[in-house]
Order: sequence, then structure tokens, then C-alpha cells
Amino acid sequence: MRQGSFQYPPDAEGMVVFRQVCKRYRGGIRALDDVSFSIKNAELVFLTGHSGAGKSSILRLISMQERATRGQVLINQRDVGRLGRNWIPYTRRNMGLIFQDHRLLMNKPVFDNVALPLVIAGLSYSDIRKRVAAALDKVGLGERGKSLPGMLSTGQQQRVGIARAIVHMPPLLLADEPTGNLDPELSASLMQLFLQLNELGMTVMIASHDLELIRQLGQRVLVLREGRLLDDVPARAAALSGQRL
Amino acid sequence: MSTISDRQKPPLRNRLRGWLRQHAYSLMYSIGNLLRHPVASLLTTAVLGLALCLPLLLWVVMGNLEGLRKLDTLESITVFVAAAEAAGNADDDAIPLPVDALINELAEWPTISRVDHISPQQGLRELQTSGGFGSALELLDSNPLPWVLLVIPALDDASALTDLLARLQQHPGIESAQADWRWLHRLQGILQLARNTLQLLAVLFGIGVVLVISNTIRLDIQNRQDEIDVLALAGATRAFIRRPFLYTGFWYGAMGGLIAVLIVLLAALWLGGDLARLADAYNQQARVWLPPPGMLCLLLIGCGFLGQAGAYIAVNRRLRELNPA
Repeated sequence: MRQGSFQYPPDAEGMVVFRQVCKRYRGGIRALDDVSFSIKNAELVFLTGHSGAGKSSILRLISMQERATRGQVLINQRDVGRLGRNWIPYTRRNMGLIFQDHRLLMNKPVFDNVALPLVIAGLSYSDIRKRVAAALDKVGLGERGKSLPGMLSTGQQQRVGIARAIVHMPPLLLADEPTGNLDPELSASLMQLFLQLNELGMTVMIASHDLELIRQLGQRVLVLREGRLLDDVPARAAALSGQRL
Repeated sequence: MSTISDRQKPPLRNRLRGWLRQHAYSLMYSIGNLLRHPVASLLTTAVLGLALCLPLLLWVVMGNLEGLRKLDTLESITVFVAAAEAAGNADDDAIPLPVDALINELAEWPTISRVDHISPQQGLRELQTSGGFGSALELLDSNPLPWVLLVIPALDDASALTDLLARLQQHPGIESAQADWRWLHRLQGILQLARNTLQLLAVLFGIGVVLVISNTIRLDIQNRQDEIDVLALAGATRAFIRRPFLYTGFWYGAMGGLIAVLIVLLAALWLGGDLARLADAYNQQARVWLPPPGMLCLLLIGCGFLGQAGAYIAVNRRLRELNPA
């Protein structure tokens, strides 16, 4: 066991479980080193740490964009490292991904962007229309379905990205620096949206380095440094303890 | 809120319904994609059309040459009846019994459609009037010409005609049988060469079509790289990502084939006059031969599948990079 790294009890099971996960990229770059934690169903957790601490690597491993070099990544007790290629898309349909750079399709209207996960799932057009309208209403963009993303502000584009991530109401929502380019007021409103989704039962993992915002929300925080899990600050304690963050 | 289910694939019935909707989406998407870039789409299909029209044009030319070959099979085999069989009055046009029997016998052969005859007297008259031997023939004491039969074969195959000629030559009642097959053999050789060339060209241009479409789709994939990544992260299967490109490849191929057919039809109209003149030289009437409509439809579908093959190669290379190894 590496000194100074936080170790989660090995018998813990949950929606997302990391067991002694290491991730090394080509060239020997160490992104994660012996990281273990567990996130329960319907929990909201922040991942924080400086740039290069391993926040995005954790999200990439959960979303199966990468495989762990060593250790296990379990989603609902299933080892995604052993998941066959054909099963990866079906597992991803249970997730919503939010990116700092939005990753919107700029040549398609907002409606089409948000509808993507539903089209992929093969829903009928009437179902898609209803659900997209509901998702856009939730993020406050109910009237912008026909607009191209380029016509929207950065904050609005981010909200389109969130609408796309939640339109199919996935059990697990992963957000990588969702407030990175937003002003504090907009960031706070987005966080309120995440809290609402969490209250509906969605498991939410948010990678962020906005410590002030994290303290305000008082949710559980996983603190990373140089690829290691430095601390696991439980909910409420995060709001009270400024020293641990 | 539900948790992630252990059984992550939806039930078969829903998957089938979803699969049909996804096909409809991909179909419309591919058509929309072509219509969004009309000039680029038209240029690509024009290149494919030109590439495909060459083997198609050769096919049509071959079809017409086959027709000409059949025209010539109306020519006859000249049979000289043995002198013993034709014994009788050479100055008489009446058919001797042995010659009549021979004519009847040959007429019953399934490989012969008709047997005409020229009597020695008739032959002499023709020589006197058209052969330029008038004064020389007056010196003859008797008519030296044999009975001649003109055998019209019921065959259009060169080897079968050769067999018929050999059989006639071996007949005891026949002195000799003659036919000039040499030019027909030459035509057969040319046709065989053209057939082989056509096959070679079809394969080469087919590969060309696959490569052109593969490259076009590869560029399309490069332009839509971000979209593919987003689709994959949103849970799109490889088949879902691949499908619009396969449809696009099909449209490219089929439209290229259609342009090739139109070019060939125009060429056939243009060359129709030349063919009629050539047929006229054989005292025949000829129309331009074109592949039947059903065959042309199959050709278009075939070109479409060639396009799909090209798209499949291009999109699979990209898909291999999508998911973790």
C-alpha cells in the first residue's frame, strides 16, 4: 500500500467500484496508481484535484474509453475490463456523459443533438419528440430546439450537452469539468440541476477543480493528487472542512 | 431511477423495432448527406459513371458483334455431288433420283435447315451470263459441271458447323463440301478476346469503384470524426455508426452505375447508324443490341453493392480505433 493514499474498504460494493486501479498511457505516463473507491447508487460525488491528478482518467475508465492497466473497474458489480466489445455500447446507454467542451454536433440543430441517445436506442419519433422537449425544458432551453449550437452562448451550449446526457434518464451521469467555461452564477445553477437529478435517483460523478462550488454543495468528494486517491471526504464534512479540500 | 440492469441488451422485439427505425434513420441520413453536398456528390458519381461505362460499353459492343456473327450463319455450305450419283443427262434440269434422295436425306439432318440445288445446266447458264467465260464454254463438248447442293445449316456455333462440314465431306454421295469458315473463326477469336478483356476490365474497374468510394467515404469519415466519437460515447453500436456510410456507399455505386447506363444508351443511339450500315453490307437489317432492363437493374444493384464494399472497408478501419483494445 502506498503511503499517503486513501484506501476504500475492499468489501464495499456499489454502482461504481474501483479496486486498486492503475492506468498507464503509452510512453509510461502514469495517470492512476492503485486507486480504490466505491460509489453507491443515487450518490452525488465530486472528483477533484489539480490538472493531471487523474479525474478525467477515472471518468474515461468508467465510460470505457480506456481500459485499466491493472485492477478492476466495476459498474453495478460488473467488471467493465472484461466486457466484450459488443457489450460496451449497451453499457454506455446506461450512462450520460457531459464534457467540458460540450462535444455538440455544430451542423445539427439542438433538437437533433439532444435526440442522439434516443435515436441510438431506436425509439419512435413521437417518443423522441416528447422526451427531447422535456429534457430541453429541464435545462431551460425549451424554445431553442431548432437553433444550431453555434447560435447559442457557451452556457447554453453546455446546457444542451446536459440535456443530451439526461434525455434518456441514465442511472449514471458523468460530468467532466462541466462548469469549466462558465461564470459562477451559471455554474451554481448547473450544480442545482445536478442536485435535482441526483434527488431523482441518478448517480452523479462530477470532475471539477472548483473547490468553492464543491464546498457550497457539501457532497462527498474524492481528492486526487498525481494519480492517487488522497482523501475521501464524506458529504457534509466537505462543506465543513476546508482543510481537507 | 433504475439502476444499471444486469441484462443490458433490450428484449429482441424492441431491438427489432429499434433496428428498423435505425435503418430508416440511416437511410434518410445518407440521402440528406448526399443532398447537402450536391456538387461533391455529383462529381464523385460522375467519376464512377465514367469508370463503369467502359466495361458496360464493351459489353454492348460484344452483344452487337454476337448478333453479326449470327447473321453470317445464314450463308450456305457448297456441296458437290459425286459424279456417279449424278449420272444422267447433264443438259437436263430434271433431278436424278440419287441426287433427289441425297437432298431428302440431308434435309432430314437436324443440323441442316434447308437444302437448295443447282443443276449442271443451271450452273453453266450462270457461268455464261455472269462468269465471263461465254466464249470458252462454247468450246466444250459436254457440260462438265457437277450437281451442286447449297446446304443452309441450322447452327450458329463455329465448332458445330465444322463438325457438319466434316460429316458432309465423309458422305459417300458427296465429292466435296466447301465453306469459308476462316473469317468466322477469326471473328470467334476476336469475340473470345473481347470477352476475356471485358471480364478483366470489369474486375479492374470494379476494384477501381471500390477504391474510389472507399476514399470518398474515408474523407467523409474524417469530416465527421467528432460526430462518430459522440455517437460511440452515447452508446451507438458499430453497426449503427457504420450503417449511414454503407447506405452512402450504395447510393454512390448505384448512381455511378446509372450514369454509366445513360452514357451507354447515348452511345448506342449514336452508333446505331454505323451498325445498320455494317449489317446492310451483309444484306441484313440490324438494330442496336442493348442489355435487357432486368439485367440493367441487376447491374445498378451490383454497382451499389460495390459501393457498399468500399464504404465498409473505409468505415471499419475507423471503427477499430473506437473502443479500447
